Amino acid sequence: MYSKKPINYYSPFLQITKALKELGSIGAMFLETVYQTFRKPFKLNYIFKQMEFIGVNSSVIVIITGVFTGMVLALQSYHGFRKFGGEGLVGATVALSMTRELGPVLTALMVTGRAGSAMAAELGTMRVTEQIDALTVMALNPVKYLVVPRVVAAFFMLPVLTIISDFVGIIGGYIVGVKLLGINEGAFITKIIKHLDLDDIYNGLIKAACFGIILSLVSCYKGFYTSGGAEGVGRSTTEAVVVSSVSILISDYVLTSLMF
Amino acid sequence: MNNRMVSSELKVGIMILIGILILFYMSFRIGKYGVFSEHGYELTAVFINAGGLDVKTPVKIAGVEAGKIKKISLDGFKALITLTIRGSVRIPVDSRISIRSQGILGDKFLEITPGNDQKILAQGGKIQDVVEAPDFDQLFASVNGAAKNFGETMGELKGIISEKEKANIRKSIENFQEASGDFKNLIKENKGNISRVVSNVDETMSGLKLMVKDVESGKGTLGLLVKDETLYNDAREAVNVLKTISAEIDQGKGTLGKLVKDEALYDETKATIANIKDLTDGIKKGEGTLGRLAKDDSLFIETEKAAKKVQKAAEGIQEMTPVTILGTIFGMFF
Repeated sequence: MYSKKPINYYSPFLQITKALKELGSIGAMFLETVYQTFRKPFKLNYIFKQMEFIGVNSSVIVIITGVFTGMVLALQSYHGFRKFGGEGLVGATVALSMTRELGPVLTALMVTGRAGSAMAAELGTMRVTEQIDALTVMALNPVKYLVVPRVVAAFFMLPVLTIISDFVGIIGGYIVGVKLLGINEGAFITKIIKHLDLDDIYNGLIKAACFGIILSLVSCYKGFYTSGGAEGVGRSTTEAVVVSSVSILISDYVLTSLMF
Repeated sequence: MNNRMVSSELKVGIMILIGILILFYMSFRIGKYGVFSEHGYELTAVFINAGGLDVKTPVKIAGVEAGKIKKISLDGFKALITLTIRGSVRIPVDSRISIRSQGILGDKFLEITPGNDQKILAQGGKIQDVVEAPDFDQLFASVNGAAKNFGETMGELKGIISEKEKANIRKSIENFQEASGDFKNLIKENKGNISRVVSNVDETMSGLKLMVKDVESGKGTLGLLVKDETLYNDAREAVNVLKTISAEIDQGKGTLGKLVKDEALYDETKATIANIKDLTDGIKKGEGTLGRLAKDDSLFIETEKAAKKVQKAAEGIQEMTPVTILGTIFGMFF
C-alpha cells in the first residue's frame, strides 16, 4: 500500500481513477482523524505546538494580506462608486467582501502556502525516512500523533486568523477610504454597520474552519503518502499546495451557496 | 522543554483572545439592537403595498431612527406591518406613517410624522393615517405617457409652423425691432422733456410726501382731522347728549316730553278746536254781532251810501282847489 509503483502512463481513465481513489483515501483519513480526535489520550501539547505554528506564526502574513486587500478594495470600489455618487458605500463593500469572501479565502490560501506546504514536507520526509513506519512498529497510531494535531489546530486557528484578517482589512479600507480618498467618515462607518450582518461574519468564520480542515487534511494526506525519496517529498509538497488551494476555492463556492 | 510548551500555549492563548475580542467588538458594533436591545413597544400599520420593505427596515421620525420593522405579514390582501418602537419614543394617536426612500436608488424606510394629539399610542396600537408609497412602475408609466404627449404636442407645433408662419414670425420680429428703434429715437429726441417730467413728478412726490408727513404728525386741518381726537370726542358727546334727550323725551320729561307723552294738551286742543267750530257755525248762521256783520246786507248798503256822500264832498273840495291855489299865487305877487 505504501510503496506503490509510480504510474507512468497518464491516460485520462487512469487519471480519473487515481483522483477518485485519492478522494476516497482523503475521506477515509478524515474519518480516521475524527475518530482519533475524540479518543484518549488527548495530546494537547502537540495540538498547541501546531496551533502556534499554523496560527501564531502565520498571523503576520495574514495581517499584511488582510490590510492590503482591504486597501485595494477601497481604492477599486471608490473609483466605481464615484461614478454615481455612492462613495459612502465603499466601507460597506469592503466590510462585506472581507467578512464574507476574501477574509476566509485569502487566509486559507496564505496558510496553505505557509503551513500546508510545511506539513506536507514534514510528513513526507518522515515517510521517506521511515519514521512513520517506526511509529507504526511502536504501536503508536501515526494519524493520532501526526495528523490529528495539525487538523485540530487548523480547525481552531483558521477562524481566529480570519477574524483578524477581516478586522485589519476593514481598517485598511478605512485608512484608504477616509484618510486618503476623503470619504465621509460617518457615512463610511454607518453604512458598514447598516449593511453588515452578524451572519456575514459568522458564516465567514464557519467557512474558514472548513477551509482549515480541508487544507490540513489534504496537506497531511499528500505528505503521509509520499513516495520516491527527496524528489517525492518535493512533488507531494507542490501537490499539497495546488490541491489544497483548488479544493478551497471549489468548496468556497459550495459552502457559500449553502450558507448565504 | 516545559518552559517552551508554556510559551507556545501562551502565544496561542493570546492570539485566540485577540480573535475573540475582535469578534465581540464587531458583533456589538453591528448588532446594535441584538442582544442588548432597548425595551420597546409594538405598533401596527396596514399598507396596500409594502414592496421594498423588509424586516429590520428602520422606522424614522424626522430622519432619526426610532425603531425597526419587526414583522411583515398579510392581513386579507393588505400588508400588515408590525413595528418595534423604542420605549423612549412616544407617538401621538393622529400620527401619519409613510414609506419613503433615500433617492431613487436608496433603500426604503418608514417615516412617522407625529400628530398633535395628546393621546399616545400604546402597545399594540395601530397607526391609522397611512400614506401609500408612489409605485415607481406606475410613476414611470405616467412619466412615459406625459413624455409621449409632450412629444406629440411638439410634433403638432412643428407641423403648424410652416414656412409661411416662419416668415410671418420673422416679419413681426423685424417690426418689433423697428418699433423699438423708433421708440429709442423718440426718447433720444425728447430727452430734455422727459427728464423735466421726471423731475416734476419727483418734486410733486416730495411735496406729497411732506403733506403726508404733516398729516401724519397732525399738522393742518386734514392732519387735525386725522390725528386730533377732540372732534371725535365732541361728536361723541353730542351723540351722548342726544341720546339722553331722546331718553328723557321717551320718559315724558320736559316740555317736549310732555308734548309727546302728555295727553292733556291734546285734549285741550281738541276742545278749543270744537269751540272754534261752534263759533264759526254761529257766524255762518248770522247769530251775534259778527254773524250779522257777516250776513246782514243793510250795513253794507248804508256804508255804500256814506261812501258816496263822502265822495261828493271830496269832489266839491276838488273843484275849489284850483281857485284857492290861484288866490295863493296872486297873493304872493300882489
